[in-house]
Amino acid sequence: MNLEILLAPQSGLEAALNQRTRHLPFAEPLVNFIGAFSARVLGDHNLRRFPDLMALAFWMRPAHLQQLRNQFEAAAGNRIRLPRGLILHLAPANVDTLFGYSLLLSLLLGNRNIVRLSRRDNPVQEEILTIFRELLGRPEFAELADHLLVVRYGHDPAITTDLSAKCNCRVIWGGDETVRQVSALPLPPTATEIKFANKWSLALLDAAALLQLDAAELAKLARAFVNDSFWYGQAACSSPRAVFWRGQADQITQAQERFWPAVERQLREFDHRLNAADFVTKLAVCCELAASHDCAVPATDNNLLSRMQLPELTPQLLEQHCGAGLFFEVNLASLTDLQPLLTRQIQTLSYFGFAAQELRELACSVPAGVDRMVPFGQALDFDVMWDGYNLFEELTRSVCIH
Amino acid sequence: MAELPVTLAALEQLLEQPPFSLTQEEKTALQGPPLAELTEHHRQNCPAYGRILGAYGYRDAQNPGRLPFLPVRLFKQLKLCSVPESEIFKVLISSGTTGQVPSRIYLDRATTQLQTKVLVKIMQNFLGKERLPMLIVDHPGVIRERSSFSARGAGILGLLTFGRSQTYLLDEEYRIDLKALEEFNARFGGSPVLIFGFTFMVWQYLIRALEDADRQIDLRQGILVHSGGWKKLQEQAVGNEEFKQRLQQATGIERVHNFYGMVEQVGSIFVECEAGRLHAPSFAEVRIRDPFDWSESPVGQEGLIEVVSLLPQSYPGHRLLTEDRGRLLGVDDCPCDRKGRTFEVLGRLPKAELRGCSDTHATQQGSAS
Repeated sequence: MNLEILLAPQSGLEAALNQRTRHLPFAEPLVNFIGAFSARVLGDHNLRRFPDLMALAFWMRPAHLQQLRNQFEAAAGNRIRLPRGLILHLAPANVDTLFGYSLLLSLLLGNRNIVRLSRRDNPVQEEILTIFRELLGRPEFAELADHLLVVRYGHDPAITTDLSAKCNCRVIWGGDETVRQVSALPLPPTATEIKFANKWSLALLDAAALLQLDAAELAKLARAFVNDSFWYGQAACSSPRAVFWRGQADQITQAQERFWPAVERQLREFDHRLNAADFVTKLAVCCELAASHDCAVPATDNNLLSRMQLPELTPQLLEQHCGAGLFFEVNLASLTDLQPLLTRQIQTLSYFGFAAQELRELACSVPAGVDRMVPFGQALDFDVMWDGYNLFEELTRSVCIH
Repeated sequence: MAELPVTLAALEQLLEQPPFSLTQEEKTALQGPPLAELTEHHRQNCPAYGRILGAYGYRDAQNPGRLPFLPVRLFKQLKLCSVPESEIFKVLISSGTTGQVPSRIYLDRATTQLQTKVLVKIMQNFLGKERLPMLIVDHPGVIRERSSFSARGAGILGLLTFGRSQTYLLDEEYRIDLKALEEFNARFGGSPVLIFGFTFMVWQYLIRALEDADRQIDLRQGILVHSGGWKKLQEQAVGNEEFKQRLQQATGIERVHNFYGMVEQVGSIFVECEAGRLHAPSFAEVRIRDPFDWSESPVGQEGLIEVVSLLPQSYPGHRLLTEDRGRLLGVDDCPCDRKGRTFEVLGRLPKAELRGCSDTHATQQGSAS
């Protein structure tokens, strides 16, 4: 079999897979290990070029781990919660760091983990592996070596089937196609599965609220929007692909004339990492969509920002979206008009200018989808509640004593 | 087509003069009105193109909106045609790498005839008017399927008329037919001959094949015309200079004209002159666009190549943004004395990077809708 072992204890992969699960959630060695990972990354100047890795390390800092612990314990009630056991993580091809959150969270909860990578040319992936190796080499963490196994292989259902047979929970990243292929492979009857399918996200803006902002507030809002949208070239599932404007038509026009130039000003300073290939793809997608939709593509300063104004949005349009800084824009008379569009594929609504009560009402209108609603600037913030899963619950099991 | 009076008059005028005689200023002035007419013509006759232009703010020739060109990839994704089905004379299909959707270019009789006339006009400027004995570095099967040509077949067919006594160098298994080559050389080798093939084919099946067989052949009076792109040769780190040098060693050929053209704009090709520069003929134009904002790049600055042609009447392909990188080398200043812009091609644009948490989104690129 074409399986490359990247991280395993000296006793070998097979032996490690058959080890006993032995730590409770938030056991001291686990908290210490993840705290050490966080400190190691945050203290390394060379890693500043990977802001998403820095964000992961910051989330895993000891003070936040303590908060997570409090949160975890508060929700326990009189249950005793235990790790599920061996978790098989199938990482996305490009090892987006979001995946790192679910992996480290799983470890924090006492699980033994085996990670499957598929590609080799990812610098963040290499850095993380190096740090794992370094930390597991320290005497105080050596015993965790069988909790963090990493392998690499191409598309090989036989290997995935073998590994699945041993695991208690399978976590599939990589979108619809990968989820479809992997979840067709058998799991032990008692094992569970977490499937991260393709999801899209939307932004909601209230025109009147935006028009009341002063220059500094507007800049801050634009900055938050750019952060939500342009990390990962707008390809993250939580980055908004469409912007819904609520208000009177003329008000919306005025608000757009303030908002988009503010976004472009923020983009001048932003490390966007988009390139010529992204811009050509975006132009081709815009033209393709314009050929079959009633729409307008307003002028922008440059190719970082592209807008497409549409009378209405369809799930299909969201699917054809190419990332790279393209925003569909739709006017909304009232928030409830959004309800039919909230399919199960909609993940995050990031909002500005909406009251909590309105958002609750939208959620209570029983839309098919939407997993979270967050203020502008928090779309990419990882949370234990992710994609509709409570990862504390999914990555542990409960023992009830009556 | 009577509905394109400005374009047809301009083409008539251009066909009567040498294709590189206009200064840049004269050429820009002459091309403006026909290009505006072509845009309006395609807007009216190709509904998809009309909607795209409308989305980018086109109102009329005076208010042309914000989209100066179509991305060439669109011909893979959409059916873009400005004539009724009954007037489609043939459909050109790009070769495209395996697994990719090919481009489809819909040609009517008028556009096809124009392409041939213009190609003749341009090539004669480099080859002279006499039809030369012709050696084709390919196998005869490549032009057999007549209703839907591959780009390679169409390219060869387009150039066949420049030669006589056409001889194919390869058999169906791409093996060099040394016997045919020797016979050809014995018959015609003492005077100028034309050799044509796609760049990679010439490299692999003529130059390398002769080298591997440890054979040399004396075609010193030959003129090689080749096209098709450098991608495969770049993978082997072979550039234009090495190509020419190894060709000369193997065959004695010193006159080499590479040309840059594409299935989306057959006819108005860009030919490399004796000074090694690609030239925009009077029927066409080249611009380099800054990928950051599509602004025009000055001489010397690398960007994406935009190609313009006055020929496409049956499909909206008169202004296209390619996915090739290039650089302008000069304007009206080539040592070969031909006027207008000169440029070089620097290779294909690399693919977009895969990002985000899904494995699949990048593969949507180039897929059919």
